[in-house]
Amino acid sequence: MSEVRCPMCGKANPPETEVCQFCQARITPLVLNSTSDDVPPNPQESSVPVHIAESEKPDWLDDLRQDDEAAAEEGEESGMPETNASDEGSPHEEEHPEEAGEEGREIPDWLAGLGAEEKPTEPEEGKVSGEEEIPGWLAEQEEPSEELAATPQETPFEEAALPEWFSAQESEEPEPEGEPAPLPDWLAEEEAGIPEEAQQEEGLPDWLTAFTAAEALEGVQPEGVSPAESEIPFLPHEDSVEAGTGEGIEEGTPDWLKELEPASLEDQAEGVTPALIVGALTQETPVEEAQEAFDIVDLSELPDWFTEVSAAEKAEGAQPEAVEEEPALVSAELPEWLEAMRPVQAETLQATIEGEELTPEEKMGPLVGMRGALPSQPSAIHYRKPPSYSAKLQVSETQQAHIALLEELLSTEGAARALPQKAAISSRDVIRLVIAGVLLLTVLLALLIAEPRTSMPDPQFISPEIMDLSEIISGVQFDAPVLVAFDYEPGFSGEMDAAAGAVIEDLVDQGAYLTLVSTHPSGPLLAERAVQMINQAQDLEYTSYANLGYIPGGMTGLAAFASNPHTASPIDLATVSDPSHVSGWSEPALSGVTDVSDFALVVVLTEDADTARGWIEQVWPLLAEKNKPLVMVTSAQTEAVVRPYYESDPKQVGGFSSGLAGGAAYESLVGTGGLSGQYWDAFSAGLLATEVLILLGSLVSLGVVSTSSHKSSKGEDVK
Amino acid sequence: MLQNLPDLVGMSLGFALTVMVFSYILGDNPFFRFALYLFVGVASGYAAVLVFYNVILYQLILPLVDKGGLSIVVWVPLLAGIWLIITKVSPRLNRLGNPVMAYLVGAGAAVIIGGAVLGTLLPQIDATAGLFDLQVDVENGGSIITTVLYGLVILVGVITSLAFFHFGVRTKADQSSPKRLPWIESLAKIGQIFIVITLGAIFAGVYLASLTALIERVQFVINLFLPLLP
Repeated sequence: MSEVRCPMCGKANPPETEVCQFCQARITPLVLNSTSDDVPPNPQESSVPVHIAESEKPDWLDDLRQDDEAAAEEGEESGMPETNASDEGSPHEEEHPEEAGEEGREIPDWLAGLGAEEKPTEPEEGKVSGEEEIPGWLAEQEEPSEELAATPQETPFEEAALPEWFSAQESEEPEPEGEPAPLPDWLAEEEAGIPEEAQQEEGLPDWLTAFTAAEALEGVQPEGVSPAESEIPFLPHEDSVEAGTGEGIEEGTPDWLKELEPASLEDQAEGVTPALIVGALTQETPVEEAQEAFDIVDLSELPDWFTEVSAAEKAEGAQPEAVEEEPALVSAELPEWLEAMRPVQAETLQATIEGEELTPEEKMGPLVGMRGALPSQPSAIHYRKPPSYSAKLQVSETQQAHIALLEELLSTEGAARALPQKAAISSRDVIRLVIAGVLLLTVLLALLIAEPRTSMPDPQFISPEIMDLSEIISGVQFDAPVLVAFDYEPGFSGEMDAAAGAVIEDLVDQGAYLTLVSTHPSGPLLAERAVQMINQAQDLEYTSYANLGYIPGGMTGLAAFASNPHTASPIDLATVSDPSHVSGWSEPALSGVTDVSDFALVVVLTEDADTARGWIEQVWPLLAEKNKPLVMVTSAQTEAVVRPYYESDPKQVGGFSSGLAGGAAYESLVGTGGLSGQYWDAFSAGLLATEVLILLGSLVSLGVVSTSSHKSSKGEDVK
Repeated sequence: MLQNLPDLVGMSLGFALTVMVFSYILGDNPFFRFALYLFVGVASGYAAVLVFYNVILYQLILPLVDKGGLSIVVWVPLLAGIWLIITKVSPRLNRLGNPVMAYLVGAGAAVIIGGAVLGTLLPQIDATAGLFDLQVDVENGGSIITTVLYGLVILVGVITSLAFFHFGVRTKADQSSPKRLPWIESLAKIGQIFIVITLGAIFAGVYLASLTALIERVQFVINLFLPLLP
């Protein structure tokens, strides 16, 4: 130990410092100083942990500690149940062996040795009288004599190294009083003629050596020491007792021995003093007399300290046997989850409390009699790191597999993927070019041929909606106001011009007064264009119409126009470009128009289904009140929506024509020429080419599917 | 020559724009986009001029001037329009324009719903039920069997098509996912057939309309270059 930590402030100090340099607290207890000088080595106190610097620690203490640790390890290997909580592998320590190792390193050597001493160890043969049990200080005394080395060595009177004869005697049942105890081996060997000088030299502690040296100076130095004296070194010498001077005792005798001395003297005087002790201490007593004295020793008359030592010896010797005889005390196999819940702190605390009981009792100062008030060990040593709980998750194999899969997915998610290299010309582009080329060539060739190759629709097989449309238009009287709504986008002008051209021409031929409106901003322009096309086609100058322009507001504006057309669309666009032009509302045909039902006919030209439905929903109810017809010319894509309104009863749409086919049918029915007739051949050729393409595409698709299915079936056969 | 110059320029522009639009056959390209943006821009400009003249000038300003500003019918939409523009321009005043918007939306919804009920829903229900009026068909010289079969097809088509759009489900404990009732599911599958046929017919109409537009454009090109041919 290179430094000593202050028990008060916990700061490090030099090892030889007695007072803390920082807080001036005392580091080295006063007990240690007084004990080393005044107190003899009490057998009981020798087992108490005492803080001794490494430099001051004797070798025999290290040897003793090593023996105890070795015994503890042997006990662990033999499967003995461990009673020390710190030695049991707690879940926390199992998970963190490094932390447990740190904690083990934090425990000072003296505390580790103490823990080893507390472990129940089996008394082993040979250890009691072996060479290893001899303290260093005693071995030094034995070294000069080779004869002594051959004699059985006795250990000091300590718990860890009790003599074999003593342990055996205590473990046995107490014998009847008055019965002499059997002679131990050492005593028998002594009787065999061991030199007294050698026995005198062995087992003498320093204080006794000093004591005998003092006697030698006084001329009462004994010639030899009996074995009993070597094992009980603290007993006063007989000469000193008999002399009654007590000077030598006064100098080297500890206090407890002083207290014991009068009783021994009294017992001796009363004949109760054990003859063993008396005889052993008597230098002139022969061996035979000593044997007789030893035989009459009554162990029941032993002093209290001797009885306590015997009880402690018995407890230590009996514990391992009890453990071995009771296998039921073996710790149960706890489940892992319960093992993990096991409180580690409580066991550590229990061990700490047990350690405090072993702390020395204060002998001096105001704290005399108190135990552990001034710990001999710095409290900083007892400091433990706060328990660090394991942050390691208990993950099963399945969860680990899922985690690995998720990590793989995330890693691939973050990685940039190379875009598939797009071919310059894909098969899709080729197919699109082929279809476009076929249609263009077909239409071009059909249009370039001047003469019509396909016949127009037969009037006898014209659909009824076109028949009804033609019938309604033919019923329009001359100069009757007809409302025509150009509600289609300019993109559909090619189809709508062809589909509606014949109808508009028929109305013009009927002499109807056309009122052109639109709910689309581009509608008025398309209406003007349609009139111009009719004029160009028929070489006419048709001017009896009014372009009321755009009806804003969508459905709401349409409803407003249906209820009050003059208010909703008061302006004739002709008056905008030519202020001198008379507004259509001033014309006689529109003078009586107050709502939409005042028109003789409402014609809606639209390509949008919603627009067609809007006209039906907002205008038809008013027309139905006066039984005025509503007809439509629609795009081919709107036919499916308009037809239910035509087939209802009553007919919400009196008649309609859809697409180029409807326009051609109407032209065929009316007998006039128009755009539909011009486009009819190309339209028919285009439909034929389309049908061929659909057929070829279906065959190719069927072949590809059959090939792939055939390959897949082969693959299954292979499998 | 000079008299035909506008027509020549117009037809040349028309041809160029037609080629640009047809270039979409080769995929999306700048020429197609130019033609598209040009059309949108011209249409918007024309619509703005038309709305100004047809609506603002002739239906709002001129009536207000002609009547000396005494027409409340003009003042109400004028003030409402100005208020709507002011409030919707500023986000902080956005909520103040909500009453005007509420009036517009409410009036529009009322018009649309009323027209749908009176113009489509009730008449179509009546028409569907009238298909089984055998007396009328007999009087019109029709066959009873044909009329009944026609009426059954229409009735089954209407019911099953409506069943296809029935999304009400009931969740049971033993079912992993909510499902419709079995008999509704069966009707929905039949209605799906009618819906597919209807969508096919609409797609055919769209194709016919496109083919007609192609023919018109090709005819335009022929009319443009045919006089130039010897």
